[in-house]
Amino acid sequence: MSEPVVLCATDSRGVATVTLNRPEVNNAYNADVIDSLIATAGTLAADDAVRLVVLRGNGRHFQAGADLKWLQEVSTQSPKHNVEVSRHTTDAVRGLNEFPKPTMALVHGGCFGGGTGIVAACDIVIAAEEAIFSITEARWGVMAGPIFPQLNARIGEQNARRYALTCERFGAKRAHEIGLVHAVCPEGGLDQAAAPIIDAILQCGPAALRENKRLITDIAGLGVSDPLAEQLAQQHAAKRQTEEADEGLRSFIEKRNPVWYPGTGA
Amino acid sequence: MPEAMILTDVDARGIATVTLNRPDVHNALSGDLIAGLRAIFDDFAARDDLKALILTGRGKSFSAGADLNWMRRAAGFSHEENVADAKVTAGMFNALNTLPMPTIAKVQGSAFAGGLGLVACCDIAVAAEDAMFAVTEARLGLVAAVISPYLVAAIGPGAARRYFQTAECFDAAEAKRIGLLHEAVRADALDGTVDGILREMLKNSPPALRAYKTLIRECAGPVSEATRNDTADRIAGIRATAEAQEGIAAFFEKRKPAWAIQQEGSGR
Amino acid sequence: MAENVTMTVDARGVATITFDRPDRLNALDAEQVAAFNAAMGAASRDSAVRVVVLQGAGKVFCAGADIRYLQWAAALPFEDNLTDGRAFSDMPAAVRGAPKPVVAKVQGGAYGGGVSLAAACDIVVAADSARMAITESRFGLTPSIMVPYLLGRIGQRQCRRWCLTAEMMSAAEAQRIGLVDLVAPDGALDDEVAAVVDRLLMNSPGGLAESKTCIGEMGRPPIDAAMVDRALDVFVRGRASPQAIEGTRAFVEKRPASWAEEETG
Repeated sequence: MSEPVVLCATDSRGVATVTLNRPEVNNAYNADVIDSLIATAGTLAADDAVRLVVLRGNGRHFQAGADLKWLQEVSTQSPKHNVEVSRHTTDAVRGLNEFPKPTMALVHGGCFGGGTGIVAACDIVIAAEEAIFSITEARWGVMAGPIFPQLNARIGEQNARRYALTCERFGAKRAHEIGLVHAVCPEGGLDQAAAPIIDAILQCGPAALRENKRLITDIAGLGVSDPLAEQLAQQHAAKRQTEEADEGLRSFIEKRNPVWYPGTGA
Repeated sequence: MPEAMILTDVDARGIATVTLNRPDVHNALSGDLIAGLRAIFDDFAARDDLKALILTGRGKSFSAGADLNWMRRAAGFSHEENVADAKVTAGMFNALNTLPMPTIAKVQGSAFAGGLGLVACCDIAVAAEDAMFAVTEARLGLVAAVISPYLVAAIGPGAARRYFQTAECFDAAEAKRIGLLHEAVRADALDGTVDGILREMLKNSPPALRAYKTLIRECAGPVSEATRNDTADRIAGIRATAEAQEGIAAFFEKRKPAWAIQQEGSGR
Repeated sequence: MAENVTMTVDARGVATITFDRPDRLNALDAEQVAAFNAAMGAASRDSAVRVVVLQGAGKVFCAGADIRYLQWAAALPFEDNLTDGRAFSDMPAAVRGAPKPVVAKVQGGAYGGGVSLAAACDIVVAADSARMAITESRFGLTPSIMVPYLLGRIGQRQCRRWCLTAEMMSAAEAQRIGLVDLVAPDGALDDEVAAVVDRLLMNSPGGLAESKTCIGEMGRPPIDAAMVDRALDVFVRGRASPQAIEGTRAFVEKRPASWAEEETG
C-alpha cells in the first residue's frame, strides 16, 4: 500500500506538523492531495489540543504546484467535472487562509504555481535562502485565479502583476522583500528559525489568538466570499479546457517553447 | 502641582508638537491620557493656522500601550462600561488619523500595543533606530482591536498575521521594512530627520495637502464608525474572558500565564 | 495621430508608445493627452499587439502636466475644465484597462502626472539614475488623479508620506516602496526592458489578459468609477484654486510661492 500523500503529527505542546508527501513528483498536488489537505485541516481545526500548524514538504522541494499530467487528464473530462475540481482547489486554499489557528509554512527548494498560493494563505512563512518561487500559471496557459486573493493580499497588487504576468522565478531574498515570506534562513536551518516563533505563539493566549486572527481577516478583508470563490473556480475550470492550456501544458511537459512564443514555428 | 501628562507647543511656523509626558510609566495610555489627547486633537483639528503636527514622547519609551493598572480596573467594569471605555479609545485614534494637517510621529523610544496605534495613525513615522516594537496584546490574552484598522493599513495583512499572533518584539529596521516607519535613524539624527521632512513639506501648499489627505483616506477606505464600534465591542468582549483575566493577573504576579508552556531554556 | 506621441508595432506584437516632446521634458498638455489616449486605445484593441512598452524620448520619461497647460485649464469654465480633466484621468485608466501587459521604461525622471502614468503600468523598469517625485502640491495642486493607482502600487502608508512631502526619491527608494519593479544600470535599461518583454511573450496571451483583469478586480482598494470621479473632482477644482494659480505663477516667475516664503519669514 502506498504512503499517504499528506502526513500529520502533533507533538505534546500542541504543534501539529502537516507534511506534503509526494516527493517523487516534488509534492505536486492532485485530487488526492487536495482532498487530504481539506480533511486534515478539518481535523486539526476541531482538535482543542492543537495550538498551531506547521506545513512543510517532504523531499527536495516544498511544492511544485499542480501535477501537470493530472491537469491534462482533468482537462479532457466534462466541464462539470472541471468545475468540481476547481471548486475543491479554491476551497483548499480558502480553508487554509481562514484556518482558525496560527499557521506556518517552512519552505525549501521549489515553490511554484499553487505552492505560492499555499504559502500566501499561511500566517507566517519562513524560507531557506536557496528556495525558488514562481507564479507559473500563465506559462502553462492556465489561470491562477483561486490563489489571487491570497497572493494579492500578501505581496500587493503591483507584485502580483509583475510576477503573475512574467512567471519569472525569484529567490527567497526577493520573496522577503515583497512580503511573501517573513524570514529567510540558511539552508537546513528552517527548524532552528521556526523554534523561537513557535515559542512566541505558545506564549500567547489560544482564545486571544483565535480572536486576533479573525480580527485581521475582517479588518484586512482577507475572507473570500462565496460568489468570488465560485467566479474564480468557474474561470479556473474554463481556462483549463482551452486550446491555449492544452498547448501550454503540452509544451512545458515536452520542454519546448509554446507556439505563441515568437519564432516558434507554428 | 503635578506636571501635565501631555505637553503641547505651537511654533511660529504653525508646527504643533504634542509630547506624551508620563516617562515614569513609559507613557502608558491611561483613560486620562487618552481623553487628554482626544481633546487636543479635536482642538487642533479646528485650527486653520496649523501646518503640521508632531507627536512624540518624553523619556525612554514613546509609549508602552495601555496602562495595565487601568486595564485591570476595566476588567471589573460591566460590559456596557467596557464598551463605552473602548469607544473613547477608538475615538481618540480616529481623531488622530483624521487630523486635517499632515502629522509626523517622532518615535524617540519603543512603542508597544496602543503605542503602535499612535504611530500608525500618523502620516509619517520616523524612529530612533534602537526603538523596539511589538503587538503585545495576545500575550496578555487580549486583542489588538481598536488599533487594528490603522495598524493593518500601515503594515499590511502579511506582517499583521505574523506580529499580531506572535507578539514578538521587532526592531526599527524591521518596522521600516514592513512599512510602519518611513525612516529609522540614529537617535542623535532624529530631530534633524524630522526637520528635513518638515522643510520639504512646508514648500507645499497647505490647502493642497489637506485636500490630499482627505482624498487618500477616502480612496484607501476610511475607518467607518461601524468598524470603530465593532473593534470596541471586540476588545470589551475579550477583556471579560477568563483567559484575559489570567493574562493580566499573571503579568502583575510576574509569572507565566497558564497557557504558556514552560519550555527548556525559555523560562524567565 | 499627433507627432508628439508615436506608436510602432513590431513583428512580435510589441507596441512601443513614445512621448516625443523632449524639449519640454515630455510634459503633458491637452494635445499630448489626446494623442496618448488614442494610441493606448489602438494598442488595446489591436489583437496582434501582445505587449505595450511606454517610454519617453530624451532625458526623462515624463515631467507631468505642462505648467502652461495647467494655467490654461485653470482659466476654463468649470464644465470645460471637467471635460479636459476627464481626458487626463483617462490616461492611467486606459493603461490599467488594456487587456495586455503594459511596461513603463523610466529614464532620467518621472514627476507628477508622469508618476501616475508609470504607477498604472503593470511593470515599471527604471534606470539607476532616475528620480521620481509627486510634485503637484509644490504648485498648489492636488495630484488626485493618481491616488487610486498609486494606492494599488505603494499603499496608503507610503502615499501619505510621498504625496504630502513631494520629496525627490531615488530609483532604489522607488523600488523599495514598490513604485518601481526593476532597476537597471543606466546603460542596460533597454536590455532589461527587452528581457521583461521576452518573458511576457513566453506566456499565453489569454492567460495574461485574464490574470490582469482578475488581479485588478481584487485590488486593494478596487478602483471603481466613483473613486475615479471623486479624484477627478478634486483635481479639476484644485487646479482652478487660488493656491494653484499662485503656485503655477510662482513657478513661471521663478520665485517661491507665497506659502513657501513663510518658512523663512
